Amino acid sequence: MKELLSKIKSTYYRIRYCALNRKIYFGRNLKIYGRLEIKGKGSVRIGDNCSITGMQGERDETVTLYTHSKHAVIVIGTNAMLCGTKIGCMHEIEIGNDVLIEEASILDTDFHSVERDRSSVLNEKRDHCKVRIGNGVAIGAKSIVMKGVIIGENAMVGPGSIVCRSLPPGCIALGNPAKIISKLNSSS
Amino acid sequence: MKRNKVMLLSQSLKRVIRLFRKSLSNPILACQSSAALARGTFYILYYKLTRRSVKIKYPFYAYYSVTIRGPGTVRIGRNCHVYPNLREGLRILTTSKESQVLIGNNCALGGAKIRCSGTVIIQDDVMTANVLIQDSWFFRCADDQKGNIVFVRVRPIFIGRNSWLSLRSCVLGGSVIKADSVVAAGAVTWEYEGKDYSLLSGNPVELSIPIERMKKLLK
Repeated sequence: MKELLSKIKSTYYRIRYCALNRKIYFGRNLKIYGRLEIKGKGSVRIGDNCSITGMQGERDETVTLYTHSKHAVIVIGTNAMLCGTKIGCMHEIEIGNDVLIEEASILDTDFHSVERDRSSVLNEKRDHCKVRIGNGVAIGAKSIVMKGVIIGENAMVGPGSIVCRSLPPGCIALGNPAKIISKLNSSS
Repeated sequence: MKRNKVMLLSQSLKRVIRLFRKSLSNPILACQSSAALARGTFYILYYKLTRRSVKIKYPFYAYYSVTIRGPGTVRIGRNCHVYPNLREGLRILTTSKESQVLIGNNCALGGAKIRCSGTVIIQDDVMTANVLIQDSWFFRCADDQKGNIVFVRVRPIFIGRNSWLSLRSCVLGGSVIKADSVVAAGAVTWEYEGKDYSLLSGNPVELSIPIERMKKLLK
């Protein structure tokens, strides 16, 4: 029953987003259990076997992928799992394979400048603001990933933490700002 | 025994009279609380009919929505209140049949998210704001491959009586919050054992300050 509903939902979203817009691409075998919302003029690419869910019993079960400019690019790899994730993209966000992201939000801009009129963003270069999340990363609930962060492979970010500096591969981080508690062994 | 029963009856009568007087002085509040009581009784009956593992005791005041999902056992004690907090009510999610959530009497559970795959014990008179109580790091892969790693495994949570969980705080697996203590706003506790009557703050929590000492400092 659940699988059938997800298939119906995924076909509905495929028609709604991919039919008219060439910039949006969904891979094969996409499972959607919650809701998906894509806005903006940028390009979005979701790989094969991804699953998009929301936390059960939550009022807000949507996964939002917002692109705020023409050149914005969101790339999600294969076998990724997004549960109620919020993504806002101005430049480029790249998410690897086998990733688990729970209710976290990922941003690659500040949206406004620090000037008094708060008009437009100053001095933001594409290379500095790029967010890259490696393969096999897990990010906990209520956490935030800021601009210019590169998270290495198989790293883990605990719930409630705020990541504003890049993390090396295979580390475990928690807190505000996220500090490395320990490292995973290469054997396990 | 008989005398005890008479005492109880007289006490309940007195309470009813007091409530009646209060309702006369403030009729809107009385309407709200009676509606909450009706909604609470509806939830009790609904979960009695649909889920056997969930048991809520009477009276239960629901000022906002209560959602309980999953096969685990959930017990809620007498005279609990669910207030709206940031437009969110009480949400309990369990993964397996062994997981259990035990909540005591006289609790005020506004906007609490409880995600449980082991055991979560909440004692009497606990007050919560919009908090996340989760006994593993990643809820979705608690039984999965990453669950075997030390940092992610499921650990029980204990919240002592008369403690207060403040806004946007997280209580993660292995944390023990003892009686009368306060968790500050935005704090994240993980594998931490506090002391009695102390303030836990920071992300992650590293020290607990006794509140009596804090009072002296403020003076």
